[in-house]
Amino acid sequence: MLSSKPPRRKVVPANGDDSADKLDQLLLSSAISNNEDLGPFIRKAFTSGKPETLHHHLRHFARSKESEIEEVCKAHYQDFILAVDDLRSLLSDVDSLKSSLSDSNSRLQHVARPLLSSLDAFVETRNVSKNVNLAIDSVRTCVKLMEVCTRANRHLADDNFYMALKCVDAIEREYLDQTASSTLRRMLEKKIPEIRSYIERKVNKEFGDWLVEIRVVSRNLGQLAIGQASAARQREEDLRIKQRQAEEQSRLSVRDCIYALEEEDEDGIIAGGIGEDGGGAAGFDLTSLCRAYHIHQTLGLEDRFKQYYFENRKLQLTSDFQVSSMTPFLESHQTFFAQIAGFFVVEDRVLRAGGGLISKMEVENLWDIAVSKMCSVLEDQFSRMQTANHLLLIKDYVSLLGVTLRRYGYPIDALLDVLSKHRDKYHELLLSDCRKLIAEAVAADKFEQMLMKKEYEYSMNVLSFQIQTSDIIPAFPYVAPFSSTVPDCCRIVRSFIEDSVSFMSYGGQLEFYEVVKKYLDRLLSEVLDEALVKLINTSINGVSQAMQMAANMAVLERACDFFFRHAAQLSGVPLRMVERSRRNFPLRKARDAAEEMLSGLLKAKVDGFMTLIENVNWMGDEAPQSGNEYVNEVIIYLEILVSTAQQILPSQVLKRVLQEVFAHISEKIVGTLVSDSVKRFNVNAITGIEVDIRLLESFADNQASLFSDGDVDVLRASLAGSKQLINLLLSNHPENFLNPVIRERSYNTLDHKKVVIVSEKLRDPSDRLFGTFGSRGARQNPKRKSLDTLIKRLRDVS
Amino acid sequence: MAAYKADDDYDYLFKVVLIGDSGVGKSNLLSRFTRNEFSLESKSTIGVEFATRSIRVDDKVVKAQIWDTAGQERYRAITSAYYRGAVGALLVYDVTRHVTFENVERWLKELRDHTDANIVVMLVGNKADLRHLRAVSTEDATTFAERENTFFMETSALESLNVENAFTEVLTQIYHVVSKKALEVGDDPAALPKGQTINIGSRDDVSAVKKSGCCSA
Repeated sequence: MLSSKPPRRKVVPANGDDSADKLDQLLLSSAISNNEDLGPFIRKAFTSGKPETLHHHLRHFARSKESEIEEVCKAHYQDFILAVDDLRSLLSDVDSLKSSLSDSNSRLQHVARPLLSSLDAFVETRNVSKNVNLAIDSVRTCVKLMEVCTRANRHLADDNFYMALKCVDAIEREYLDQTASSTLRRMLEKKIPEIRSYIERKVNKEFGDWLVEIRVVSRNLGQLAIGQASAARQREEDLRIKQRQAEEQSRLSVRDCIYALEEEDEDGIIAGGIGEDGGGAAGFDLTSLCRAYHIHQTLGLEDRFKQYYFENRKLQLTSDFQVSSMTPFLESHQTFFAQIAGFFVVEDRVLRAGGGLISKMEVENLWDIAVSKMCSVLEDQFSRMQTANHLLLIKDYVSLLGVTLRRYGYPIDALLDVLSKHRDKYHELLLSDCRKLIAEAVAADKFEQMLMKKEYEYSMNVLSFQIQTSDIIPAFPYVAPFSSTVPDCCRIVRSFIEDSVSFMSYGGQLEFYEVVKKYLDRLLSEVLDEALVKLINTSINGVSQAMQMAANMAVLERACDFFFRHAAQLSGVPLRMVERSRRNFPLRKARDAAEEMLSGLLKAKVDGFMTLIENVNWMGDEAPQSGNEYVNEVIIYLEILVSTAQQILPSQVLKRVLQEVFAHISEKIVGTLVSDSVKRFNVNAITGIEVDIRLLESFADNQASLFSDGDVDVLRASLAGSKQLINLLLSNHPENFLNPVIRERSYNTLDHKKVVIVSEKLRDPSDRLFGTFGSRGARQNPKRKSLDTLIKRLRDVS
Repeated sequence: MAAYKADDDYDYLFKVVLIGDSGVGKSNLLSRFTRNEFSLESKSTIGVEFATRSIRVDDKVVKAQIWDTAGQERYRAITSAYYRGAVGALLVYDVTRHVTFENVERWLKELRDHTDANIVVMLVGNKADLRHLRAVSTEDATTFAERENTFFMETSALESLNVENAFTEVLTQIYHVVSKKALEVGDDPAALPKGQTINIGSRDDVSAVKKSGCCSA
């Protein structure tokens, strides 16, 4: 209505008054059109003092509107009347309809009441059904949940932790959200972590028990593994012994060799079989460990468990490193090394079968720690050991440890280096021990030939060192050519060889024969040779003892050949290679000392007899036909000597000694002729000396059966000095000595000065005649003239 | 737990010393017994520390004054003062370190050189919870204790295993020794006035300790 009014009032202003009123009316019209508040306009009207104008306009407007209304009412009066009639008619119809509806409603109510009851029952029943279905679903879920819980409980009761964890995971993943019961859900939320913690604690306890148990198992395991390595080594030793026997037999006959080869093959087969059986690792149980690891993986704690495992095993290993100072290492070393060996046998198994619980690098780290510790322990213990046997015991066990762990793939070079480093110390201790033993053996010698009453004595003292002179077993009782020193020292040397080879064997160095030989040389040349030299120089009383020592040295020379062959055999070197490399006799100084001692004593003895040369009649009228007294005594003595010596001395030694003695006799004869004790002599005396020399040469010829062909000349050559001098004096042409060719051929041993001295002493029988018939001027002897010429010329030379 | 009483309200005051190698756990045994605390930090004791705790033995209040020392050699200067007046000793070794057990003999000799012959000695193998690192068997320790006529227990300060028992046993045995000695002297313990101190060591030593300002933590 308001919206239609403004156009009409706009018409009224068209009839308008002044411009100011027009403006006000426009504003008012605009305000009315915009439905704005008319208050300000009313107040303005009153404040401006023009209310009458407003009242006028309003009354005029009102009258205008009333006329319009009246016209409209007149125009629509008829329509209104008709409408009222229609409404009245409609009212009647409505009342009729109302009654009809009321009846229908009553009838519907009457008819629908049973249906409504049915519907209510239906709806109620449906709700119940839905609730029951929900309850059934919930119960079914609960039943499944309870089944899983029951299964989990059963697995827990049976300690099947993995399956229990699987059930718990299933409960958490599939049922926790589905569970309608908040009580049940709270219970699950509380129990699930508790179960996991329980399982973790249980498994950790099992793991802890396993750690305790595995320590004991490790020691036994280590001992067993090292024991197996030891048994394998023993089998190798047995095989090697058989091979050596076969090699020795092969030099005797081909048939024996064939037999030995067959035997060797059988041993090979047996050894192989045993090796395969021995290769199987002793059983130990990783079940607890693998289970713990698996459970921790399932719990999502794999890394933590791996770290825990590694750290605790490292602590156990560090604990294993404790070397007790209460117990000597010699007693505790086997436990010490076996514990460590067992530890790494277990770690190797864990590495291979543990499913990644420990990595190869971690095991290698542990092994590096262990090797460093073992090496430092060995260095410390070896540095304090003063007994060779102790080093050998430790070394044997360490090398067995090395063999054992190398089989599991652990590098053992550092351990072998420690053993090699202490090789010198070991051998020094051995040499020191042997020095004491040899000194004792040598001091106990009675310089008597050994008497052996039984064959086993012969075998033990002779055959075992291959110092027999014949392959035929002698009749018993048997008197050996050597004294007790020889087999005693041989046993000591053999022990040294075996101990040296024992240390060098399985020490990582495959070719150790040169080392053993070096130390054996030192033992023989430094220890045994020195001891024997000392014995010879300080303890010999008489020719018989000296002879015994010389005999001993001869036997020891053969024994030394045996020693080097034995060392080679034990070192695995073929004998032909050893025999090809011939070596010097390492006891040469002792042998020379013995022979010098014997020669010296014999010379002293001979000197006693040679003093009888003073009884020679240097101016006798006749030459003695059967030799002078002194030479007969010497020859008697030498005959007795040789008959004794040839029982124990080898012919070569006896020959060398006789050479010395003969040379000495020759020197004594020449010395006597040169000495002041003889003033002059005649041809008869010289002829007598010549007879003496021939007697000695005859004695030498009689010894030919003792020597090989041609050696008699060597013995005769020892008498060359005196023989040449005598020959010169008996020669009709002594001036031939001046001829270099003749001198070199016939008088090469003679000294110019001695020749002059001796020649001047020769007196001719005519000297007395000359003295008697001096005034007659007798004819001079041609030989004398020649001799004078010689003397004059030699004097001129000097 | 012992009934609480004022510090000066006790029937007996016993000085007990803890000895043994460094790192065997002496301080943790002390803290576990007196304050029920265990520290995983392995810091060394400097010089001497002591703490007290009272227990009841045969209806008597026994106050234990427990002295803890460093095991290192550089604190040897305090030896005489440390041992003076001690009536009991816990000789502690670490079951995971064999060398600590080997040194027990030396500690025992030093103890006997500086204390009364009636001193009660308990050999204690600590860290028994580390079963997988054990290096000293129970049998070896038992044999040693029997040979040396000492008591023996294995403990774990970490797990509170046998700590209470070890100290209680030592204090009980000390009480028995004191009672027997008192009987031999002819005194009747029941007739003793309340609060009076009876000690094997010189009374002056205990007074000196009090006057020097030592006090429990």
